[in-house]
Amino acid sequence: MWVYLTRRLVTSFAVLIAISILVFALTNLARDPAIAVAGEGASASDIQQVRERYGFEQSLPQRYLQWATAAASGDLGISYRQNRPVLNIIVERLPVTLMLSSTGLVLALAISLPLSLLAARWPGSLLDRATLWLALVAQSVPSFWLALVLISLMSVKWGILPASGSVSIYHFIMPGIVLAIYAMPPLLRLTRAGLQEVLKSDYIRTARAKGLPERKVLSKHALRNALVPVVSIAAVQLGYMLGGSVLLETIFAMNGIGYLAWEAISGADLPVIQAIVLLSAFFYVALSLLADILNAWLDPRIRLA
Amino acid sequence: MTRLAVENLRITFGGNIPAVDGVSFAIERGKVLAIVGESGSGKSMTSLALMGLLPRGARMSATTMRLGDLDLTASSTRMTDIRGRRMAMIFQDPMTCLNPVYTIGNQLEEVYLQHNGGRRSAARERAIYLLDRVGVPMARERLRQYPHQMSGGLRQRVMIAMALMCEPEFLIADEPTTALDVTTQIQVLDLLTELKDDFGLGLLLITHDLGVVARIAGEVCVMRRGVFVETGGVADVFANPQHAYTRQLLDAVPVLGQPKKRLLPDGALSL
Amino acid sequence: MGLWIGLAILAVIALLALAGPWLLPRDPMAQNIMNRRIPPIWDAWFNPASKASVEHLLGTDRLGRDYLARVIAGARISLPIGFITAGVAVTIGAAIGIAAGYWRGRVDAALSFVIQTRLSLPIMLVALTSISLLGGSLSVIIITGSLLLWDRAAIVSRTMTMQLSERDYVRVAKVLGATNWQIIRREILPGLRNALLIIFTIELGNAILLEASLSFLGLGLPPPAPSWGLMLAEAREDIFAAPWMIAVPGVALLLTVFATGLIGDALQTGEQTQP
Repeated sequence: MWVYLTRRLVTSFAVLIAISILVFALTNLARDPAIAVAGEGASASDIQQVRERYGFEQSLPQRYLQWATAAASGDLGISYRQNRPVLNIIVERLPVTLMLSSTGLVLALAISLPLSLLAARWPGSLLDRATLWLALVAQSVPSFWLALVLISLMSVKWGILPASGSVSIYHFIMPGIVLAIYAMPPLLRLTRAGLQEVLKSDYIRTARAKGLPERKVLSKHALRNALVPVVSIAAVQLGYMLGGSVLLETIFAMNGIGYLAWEAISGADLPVIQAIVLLSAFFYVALSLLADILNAWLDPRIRLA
Repeated sequence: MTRLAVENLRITFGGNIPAVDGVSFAIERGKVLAIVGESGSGKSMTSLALMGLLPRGARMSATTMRLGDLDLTASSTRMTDIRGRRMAMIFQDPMTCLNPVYTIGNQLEEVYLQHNGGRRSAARERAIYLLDRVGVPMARERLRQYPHQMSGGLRQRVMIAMALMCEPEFLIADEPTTALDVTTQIQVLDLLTELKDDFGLGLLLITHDLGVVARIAGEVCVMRRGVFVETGGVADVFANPQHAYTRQLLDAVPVLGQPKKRLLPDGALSL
Repeated sequence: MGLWIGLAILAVIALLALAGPWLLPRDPMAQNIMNRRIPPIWDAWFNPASKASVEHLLGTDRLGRDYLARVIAGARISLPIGFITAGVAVTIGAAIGIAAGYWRGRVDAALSFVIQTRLSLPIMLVALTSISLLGGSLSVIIITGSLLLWDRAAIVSRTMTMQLSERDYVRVAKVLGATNWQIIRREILPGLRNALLIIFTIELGNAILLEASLSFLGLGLPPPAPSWGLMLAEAREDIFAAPWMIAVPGVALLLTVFATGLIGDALQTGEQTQP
């Protein structure tokens, strides 16, 4: 097991480096960074000033190495817009995004797992088919539209929830629901399919032959075996949410890194953009690795190999 | 003496051809009945029907299916009470029959706790006693092991121990030795005989192997395409097979020195 | 059955998109400030004082433009972009996956690394960044979208190619002297066709939603092109005054993506029940 994990660790590190190169190339090659930062309608002298001030005249590989080596030691540069260390800004805004993503994932799991168990308990039933329909509808709903619908109902019409901000727990309810609906479909499908597969196993027949009630067969024997793909998907979804909550955070004006990314992109704040993309990739990679470790721990055949 | 009695059992799967078409038999405690036949004869279905473990889509009917006084077909009968407690079953493949993510101690104790409640320590002591009894060395340490850490023969013994946790009256064994190597087969069969005698179990043995039948069964039912073509005491049937199919089964058992024979689908024997 | 419903919905939407301007000769760009923010026809059923009329079945937006015409015009944007993006994405993915699965070894190692990298990228952020820097032209949107949606096609192609190239008929073909290209074209591709079709429907839905999200944030095709995402962004500003305005483009998106999902699911079930 450890050999495998070490190999994964090395690959993950290589992936992060590749991503850092990609994002650096993107932000610095797509458009002349001096023009991007100086803005539309800047004069030639303005642009030249920007070029000198931020060191854009240095060669690309040179700048990349500077940035990358600094980033490796925790220095993510200085924000162009806010003139503060990027790291500090990110640390300030991260908790909101973490809270939002966790809420979304927990809600998604809280709905998916019981529903899948029930669907597996009564296969072919109305409930079972409804579960599939639910997954389909949930993945067809544009999340930003759902957000608007919820706002128009909860905030505008009924006034029971706040439409923007991220100060209190009430601010996380609507975005949390939207995020949960976004994350639910793959969880729902996989758990249901996984449980169906597992229920065909011989050890399930043994469990029933021992006289265990069906709910125990499901919740104790079947679920634990079906969890492996669920853990992987849940981790990946969390990774996506941490990196992609731009839409929701902008709609609900939440003070997280998604909104920060939006501000940075609008304002050509290159260091912040680079840092957030790198950070999101890091989260994804770390979570996948964590999922692998968790899966290995869950299955004694791998753990004790 | 408690009897497990079945009369006129029929099992269909939606189509017109029944998998089991009116079989009747009875087992008493302390005796061994074997149902022998090829794959597809319906013998496994018969055993699953007794336990109420038929797959989805199966329709079952029987004039009688009783465990002592208890009608097993009655809707009021809670099979989850019967299974594991009064009737137990072990299956063919010990590799896949145990849940890989739980210790064998956990899986053994759970049967006891499910039917008897009480303390885990009582369950554990019973588990250790039975593991010992079935010939698993270092029983106490084994409880903490996982199925994949044991050999096939050991796992089958664990299955047997698990079946006996709640002192059932009857044990159904569906091809218990088929997946084991020959020496282990004999050990397991002898073990089953011992346990049957010690605990007064009624043993229903499902198998395709006449050697197994010869070794431990007292009575045998020869099954073919859903019906019993011949029943009787093992010694009698083996010595004087009445039905052509029985004769073919007996003849088909390879004997050293004789040319190999094959059983063709239409029942004829070719050389 | 779901297949037919899905196809039907999609066909209706596509038909409306294609034939819309002839069926409904109302200019989606024609502004009429006097007639702005008229609610859709069903408002007249509940509210006798409503200004709704059959003149504007789905009402008008805040600049008085006919909403129905705009929704249909939106289909003419979202659907083609979705189709092309998904098509390119699946093509790229299949190419990568087949190459990795067929040649294996170091080719596979390198390409798998590429796939891993792509999976770890935050799609939304990268899309937003590239479009804001490169401008929101049609080609940028399509290229960015396809470069972000090819992973599923690649992973599945790779796995299936590996399985297929183990089959005997492929080995026989090699022994008989067929070139790699011939083998790929005649033995491998047909085996992948069904799976790729299913993946196409999935990515179609994703592509449509991606384009809508980008337009919503103002980074899609520039106005006045009435992409559904852009319509939702505009509707958002009127959420207090005319809350119904978010309904129409949202439902259009929902139905379209739902239709692709139905088709994909039906195809998948068909795949599974085949011998």
